Amino acid sequence: MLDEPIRVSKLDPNFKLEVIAHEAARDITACFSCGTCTAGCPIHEAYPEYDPRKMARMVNLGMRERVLSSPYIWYCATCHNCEQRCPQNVKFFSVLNVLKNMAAKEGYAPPSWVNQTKQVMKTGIVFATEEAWVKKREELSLRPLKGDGKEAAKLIQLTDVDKIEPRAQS
Amino acid sequence: MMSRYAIFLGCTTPTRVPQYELSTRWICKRLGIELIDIEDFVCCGSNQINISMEAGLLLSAMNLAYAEARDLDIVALCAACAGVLTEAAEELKTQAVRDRINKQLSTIGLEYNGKTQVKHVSRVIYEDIGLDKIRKEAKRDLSRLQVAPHYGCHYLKPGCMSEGFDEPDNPKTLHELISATGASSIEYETLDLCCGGKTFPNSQDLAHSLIARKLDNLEGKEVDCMVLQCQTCYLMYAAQQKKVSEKFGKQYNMPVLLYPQLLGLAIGADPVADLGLNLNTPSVDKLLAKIGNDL
Amino acid sequence: MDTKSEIKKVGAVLVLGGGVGGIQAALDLAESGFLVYLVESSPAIGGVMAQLDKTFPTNDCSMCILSPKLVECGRHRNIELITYSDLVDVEGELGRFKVSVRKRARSVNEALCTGCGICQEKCPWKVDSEFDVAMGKRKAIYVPYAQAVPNIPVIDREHCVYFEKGTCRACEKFCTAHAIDFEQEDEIVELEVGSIILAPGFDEFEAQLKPEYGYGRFPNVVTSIQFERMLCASGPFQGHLQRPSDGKEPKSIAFIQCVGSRDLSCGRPYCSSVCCTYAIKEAIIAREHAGDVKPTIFYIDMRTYGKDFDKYLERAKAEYGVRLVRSGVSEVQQDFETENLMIKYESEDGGLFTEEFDLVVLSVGLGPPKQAVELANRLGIELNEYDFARTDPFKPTETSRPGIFVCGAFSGPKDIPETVTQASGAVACAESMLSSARGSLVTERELPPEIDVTGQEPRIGAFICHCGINIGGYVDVPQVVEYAKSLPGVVYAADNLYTCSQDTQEQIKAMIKEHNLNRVVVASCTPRTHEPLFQETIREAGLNRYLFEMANIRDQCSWVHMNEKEAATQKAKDLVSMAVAKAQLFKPLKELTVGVVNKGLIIGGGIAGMTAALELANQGFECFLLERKGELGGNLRKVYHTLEGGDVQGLLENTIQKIKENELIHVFTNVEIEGIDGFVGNFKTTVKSDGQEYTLEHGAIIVASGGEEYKPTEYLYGQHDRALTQLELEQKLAAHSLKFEHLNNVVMIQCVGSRDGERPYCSRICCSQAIKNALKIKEENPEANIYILYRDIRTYGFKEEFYRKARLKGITFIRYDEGHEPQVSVENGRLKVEVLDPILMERLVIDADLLVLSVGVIPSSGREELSKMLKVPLNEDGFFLEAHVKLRPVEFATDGIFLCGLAHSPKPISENISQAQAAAAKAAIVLSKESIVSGGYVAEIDKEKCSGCGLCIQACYFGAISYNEELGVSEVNPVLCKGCGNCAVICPSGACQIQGFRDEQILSQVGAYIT
Repeated sequence: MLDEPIRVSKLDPNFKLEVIAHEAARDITACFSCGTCTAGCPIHEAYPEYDPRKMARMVNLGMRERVLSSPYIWYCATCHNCEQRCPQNVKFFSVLNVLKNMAAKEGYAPPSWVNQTKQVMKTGIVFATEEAWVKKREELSLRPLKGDGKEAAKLIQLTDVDKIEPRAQS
Repeated sequence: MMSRYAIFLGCTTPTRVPQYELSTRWICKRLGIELIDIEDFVCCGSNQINISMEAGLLLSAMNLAYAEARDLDIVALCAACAGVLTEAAEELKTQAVRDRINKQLSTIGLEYNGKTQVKHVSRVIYEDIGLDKIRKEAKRDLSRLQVAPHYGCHYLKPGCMSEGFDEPDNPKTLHELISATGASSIEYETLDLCCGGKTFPNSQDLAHSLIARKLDNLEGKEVDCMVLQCQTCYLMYAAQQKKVSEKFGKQYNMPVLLYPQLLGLAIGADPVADLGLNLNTPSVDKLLAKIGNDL
Repeated sequence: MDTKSEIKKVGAVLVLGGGVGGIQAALDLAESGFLVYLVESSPAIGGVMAQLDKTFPTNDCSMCILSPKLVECGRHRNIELITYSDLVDVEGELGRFKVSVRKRARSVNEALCTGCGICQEKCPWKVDSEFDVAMGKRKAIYVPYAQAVPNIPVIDREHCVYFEKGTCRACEKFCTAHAIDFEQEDEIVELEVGSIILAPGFDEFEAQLKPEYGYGRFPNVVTSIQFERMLCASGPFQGHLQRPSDGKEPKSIAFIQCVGSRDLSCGRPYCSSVCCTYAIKEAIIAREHAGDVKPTIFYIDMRTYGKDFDKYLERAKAEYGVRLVRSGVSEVQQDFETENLMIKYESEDGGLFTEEFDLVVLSVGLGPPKQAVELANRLGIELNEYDFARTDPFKPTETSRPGIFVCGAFSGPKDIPETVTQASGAVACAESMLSSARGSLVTERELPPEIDVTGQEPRIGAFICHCGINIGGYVDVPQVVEYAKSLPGVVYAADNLYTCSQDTQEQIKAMIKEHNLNRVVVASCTPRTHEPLFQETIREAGLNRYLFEMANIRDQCSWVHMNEKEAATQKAKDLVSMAVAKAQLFKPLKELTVGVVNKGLIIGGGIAGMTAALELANQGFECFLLERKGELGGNLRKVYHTLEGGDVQGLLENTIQKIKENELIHVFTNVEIEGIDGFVGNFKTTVKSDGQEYTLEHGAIIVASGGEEYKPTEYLYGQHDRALTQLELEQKLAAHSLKFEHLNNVVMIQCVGSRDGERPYCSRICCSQAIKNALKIKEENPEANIYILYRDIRTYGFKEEFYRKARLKGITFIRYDEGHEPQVSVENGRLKVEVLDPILMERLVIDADLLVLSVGVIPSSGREELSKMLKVPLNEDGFFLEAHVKLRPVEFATDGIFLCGLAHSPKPISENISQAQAAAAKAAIVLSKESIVSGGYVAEIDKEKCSGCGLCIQACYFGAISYNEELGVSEVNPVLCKGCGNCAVICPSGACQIQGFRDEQILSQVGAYIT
């Protein structure tokens, strides 16, 4: 909680328009802050600061910088409870994905997802080829994995996802 | 007629929880589901969605296209893979979306026409094999086993996953699949609590507190093991169990099985050679002893 | 040639639906000279109101206030009850409809059944009771509930042993009236009516469609209607608050609001209007059952917008400890061992909490009746997008087919006062169209002249009833007869199997003649249902109605002493001797007939007053419309469009035009009322209008004196030119005098002058008004940032969709709690609004180009003088106080005076229109009569004994007693007296007595019992 009040004129009223330009996030402005999403969120239960309703609010008020730079938007467990239960059909999970995408482009992505993506472009899966699991598969007579991400890389590079840099570690 | 599917292994199962793949292949062979490997399959795209929804969708579409080219539907072991691929298939039912994606797919010589269906392996067992057949094939007596089912979020949600098949708020299919093997499934209050698997890469603490909550709930109950349908849930409840125990000063000792392993036990598989149960942690010794079988 | 005017209109109306709406419509029509067919699908009338335990905001027992209306419907000459029946087809047009109705086979002959109930006792098959919402049982042969009207059972053939297997027939065996008829078949009845009023009600949202709340899985999750039955003394648990799984008394009870309302995920995007208030009611009543019950209500917005509802809310919090938590509930979990329920909620101070409850009540929403689509097809009417009947907000009771009207929940979720109002409103519209046919199908009974019994010794006839085995099985009736014969004054005594049957009526009349009886006592069941019947019987034999007394030896004897035959018989004898003792002292009571001046007076020329005038005039009644300003229109002059997009100025013009063209309406402007005298049917009002004096004679008065906009002193209003009220904004919008390019930030503050210490009520229209104006601004300037600061958004009913529309347009809603009001100041000449956002828990500062205050509605100035002149009361907030908040919203306790519009309470145009129509319908009941009969059980003041202390005048609720200056005594106007007895109780000298209940009569009963 900040001590200084938030000057609304300094916020970005276009932020929500940017978000709703994505089809899946279109209804974010329909949110009437009932809190059903927050009440059903398993992450919120462990982390009070992680609050879907609060995040929706910040989008609707235009708190662009605060939302996109926030470490909290990355904690989502993708359980879908929020979307499942929202009485106004706000696809909050999709909104959060849109926010994460926007944040990633501005350099706020955590290393985990960026590194996994880089890995996919190498091996086709999110893990490097490690001797341990290669051997284990042999022992169990399971087929070897192709381990080639070239086609995948060619494809997803079209979205410039490879240009995304993770946020600097503090 | 035998059902045929392209088996989608995902990233984590083949590398971290190979016993899930092993047991799945065994029971499918035994019960008449033909699994066809498409080596070109890549990551389903679920984690890429975080930084680029378009990249994630492209990866999903790539996999769907591979299956479609071979005239196959997909069976996925990981609940998240099943979820993301299903949602992608839904999105790609719209012509405009398909056009946009196909333009990009064409750069690697692929095309997707909206034909591929995706199912989670438990759903395939439930629908294609059926509970009756499972009961008939049961050779071992599992009636002394009390099992806590864990469905996994992506198996049931969003709506398109379970529509016409199961209900997110009152799910039944895993309970029934368990009962069909002879074991009993118990009721417990945190049934629909998420395992935290998708938040683990960014915050181990968060995931641990979610895992602990479920294990705490089960502590007071008469239960021999948990049965799961997703390797990520397995990594949380099983592989992280020791760490969680230490962190919260507990002594959890909850064996964790993947459903095909339980099913395999029921229909007479070798616990090690066919199901890889020796790889499960915590140890399943006590459980096997209870049903009169040793590792 | 206009064929419509050639059709001879039928003086009958079909009312479809026997809930409180249908009942009210039927009674209003019947009292105004129309024949009514009241068709109801279930075996008895009563509807959902019969299932309720108590009603808000008065906490009256629902059945107590409903059953007199049920009884009245059952016995009114002009009402034909057609129950267990459905509408099949409608042909024809306004004025002459041909309706076919299928009367489903009851398997019981209605003409023979006496309602004794033995068949239900003997039936072996128990079935889940629909009335008790599957929490209790009924038999295969059943009436839905104990006080059912008609009290004639039906056989549920799907669950009857005879119809299923061919055996049993127990009901037939035990029915001494031979009323069981297994061969009975469905019957199609053809009815000719001039108009149809639809009142089929609603069906509640099926809670299992929100599976996350566990309904159907967890035994201790119930719906609100089930909870009503649980609370009700006549319910499945006899009023003991116990929970379904183990019968334990629940201490902590959670209510979850908006289950199936405001919810797109289950196809119910609208608000169900009543659930907030009914949850508060249920919470209060639960607390009354046990002082340690802790109710918690989980809600999104608290919509207690009705008259006195906010006060009810505050009382619930302060006096009953009802806890309100503003948080949506994601799911309900069950502890599998205790079967207690767990709810996670987000606390208003931040943080997720889990709480355990013994019981969860789901406040389910109101949906259209299940058969709505089919019904609409048969009737040929249009439904809206939610499958409710489509109406135009300016014509709230008209369906899309002329001549077919609608009232109650079928046109949109609403509470009982709204339903009852709309029912009377629909009646006014139907009557306007059928006024030429009034009285054409109803007949007055011819009665013989009354026998003069003055000077005669009492010759009492006593009729003791067996009531089948209801009484006879538990009381030795022949013994009671013998005993009666021995009583002083009794010259004839006999027993009857069913005293209420048709043949016994003839028997009673014959005995009166044969034995020259001049007093009659019937010892049977309850006067509540049967007194009027026997009074009519003896009147037909020439005796004054009031020479009759009833002893209740059923409800008060045989029914409660079933295992003590000797003692019950003695008690029956005692009751009979008391009745006989009183009968000895009976005097015939006079009934007065007073002529009625068939003209109406309407005070106030706003939309309510004008509508009322037009409705009365359309029914053929001359009326005087008084307006204190120079022109008609009132507040309507300042409004341009409604939330739904209606053209208000168009409405104003049309209405004024219609009034000008109507020869029966006399408009008086610049009016000063100098005095109002008289009583119902005979009022005299003197007014000064445009300089001239007039004396007007009329039979009824409608108060439509309106309301005004509160002019605030808060929020720098009057100190800064950018601070406006909503009406002022609307003026500017209509005049296009706002420069939208300069309007970047607009802030609206709700509840200015409402819901505060001085005016604790909700002004009901301001949320809609703000959203309406905000949407208008967005239309002109989509880039404008609009912030609406609110406490609760009260867009009830179908207005909810406009709230969603506003949010989708990017209008931002910021909540503020009481005690954290926004602060408005000026910075560099510009308005600055600071408010705490409770979601972020941070303060926001908005630089406003325009500040719009949603100010409340206050009752019109001059209301005190008017209330004194009319001798009708105002409530604490200065609005006029009606006779009964629930069932008589447009009437005053004083007969002949009616109320509508803002003078009653704040409401939108559409509701003012239907309330005005309702007031007109009520006034028409008076004006349609040639004369009013009154008297009988009324108070009488003995001039000799009266000291003129005036206590009785103060004690009278109905304004029936006045002071006679000349004689120095109080006088009762028998036309207004209701015989309630307050005056007689308070009179210190015994001068005031209620006829038929005089002191000596009551004391004689006591004496008969003691000796």
